[in-house]
Amino acid sequence: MAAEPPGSTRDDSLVDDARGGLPGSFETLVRRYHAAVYRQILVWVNGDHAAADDVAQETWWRIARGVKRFEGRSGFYAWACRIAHNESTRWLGRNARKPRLVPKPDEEHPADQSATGEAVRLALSRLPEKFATPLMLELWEDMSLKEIAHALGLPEGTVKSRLFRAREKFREVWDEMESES
Amino acid sequence: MNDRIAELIRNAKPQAPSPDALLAALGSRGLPAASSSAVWLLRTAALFTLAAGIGAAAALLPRMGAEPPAASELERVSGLAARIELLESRVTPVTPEDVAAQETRIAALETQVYARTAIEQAVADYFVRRDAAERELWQQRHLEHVRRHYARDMEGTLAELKAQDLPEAKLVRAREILEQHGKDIEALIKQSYAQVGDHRRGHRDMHQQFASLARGAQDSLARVTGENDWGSLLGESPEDWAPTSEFEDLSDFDSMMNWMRRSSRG
Repeated sequence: MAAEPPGSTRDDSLVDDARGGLPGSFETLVRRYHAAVYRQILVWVNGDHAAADDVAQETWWRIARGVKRFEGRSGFYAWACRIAHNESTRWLGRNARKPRLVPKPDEEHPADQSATGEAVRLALSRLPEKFATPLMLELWEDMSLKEIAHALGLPEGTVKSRLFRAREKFREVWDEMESES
Repeated sequence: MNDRIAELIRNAKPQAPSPDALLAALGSRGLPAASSSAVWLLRTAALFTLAAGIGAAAALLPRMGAEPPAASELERVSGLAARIELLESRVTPVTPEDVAAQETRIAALETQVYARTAIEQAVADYFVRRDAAERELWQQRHLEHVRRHYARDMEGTLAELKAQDLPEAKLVRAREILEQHGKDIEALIKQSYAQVGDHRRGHRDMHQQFASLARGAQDSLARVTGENDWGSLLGESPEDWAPTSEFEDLSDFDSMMNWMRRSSRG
């Protein structure tokens, strides 16, 4: 995924337009980032697609309502991710006391069912958001360093450094999980 | 990056649904931003028509005011005059004793009002004291949290510098800079909690100052090490040190706890 294909409107312009109620601008932001936000949420809600659907809808609802207050201190995607993370945490809190059901095989998402895939997503969910987010953008959304920097509102050097540390941390978590099992 | 790890993560990429269903759901919840251009144009046209109607009505108002009063208005005014006359006839003269009695009653009522005000003041004082105690508690938790994680991050940074064969003298200087940065961060957090009454504004200022402190420390560190990018090592992002702007006042424990949980995994 490219956060911003060459020649397309920049995130900050789209956010300005969405603030002014210009039709189509918010929709463009949704189409640009929905898949990435959804995948992040899926990691945080333990791979539960039904929960991810609900949390994604609540997240975008909050983004739409809060876009006028978005001050642009971070990139739009970083802001969206923080809202998604808060919503995921709320969802986990609400569902923590409910008995955990063994997930049924998901016929709609057969590719998500492998044990290794679930373990990788679990490991990612244990990384701090500031490391997990750029890592997922790089490897799942195929974004370049420049695109990640733009989406998160960070200098490219910082993204590079975070990616380096993210890989280190992922390796640590992965090794820990392997030794636990 | 280790290719095996990268491949492992790539292969775990989950599927994401099309955003169409999401946009439809947002639209059905009444989100104007998610509605189509046609709906927007219709709404705009309706507003324009409404504004034109109001303008036309306003233009007619002065003409209506210039019309002579109707017969029904004259009848209503004469009815009011009769009622005033009737009420005036029922007014009884007031004696000095009556006035004294009323004054006594007013004084008694005022005493009750003052007593109530005193209770309200006591309640208000209680809440001020409780808020101050809560603020103190959260400040302590915040500082302990930041101290713990900053110490770990600082040692990690110094270990990385050591691994790059930085001379001992430069390592000592880097440690001094990082320790001073930690102290500055703590002072800033304490200062923010001292701003009673407008926490939202205080936190917003604090975020800008975190970024400014990080820049200063980064510059100092760059001069010592000859490296230009220590951004993530120093935690230049305000979210490394405090919740985001969503943290609006001290009653928003949810945001504070979320932030602590999130950053404690760093």
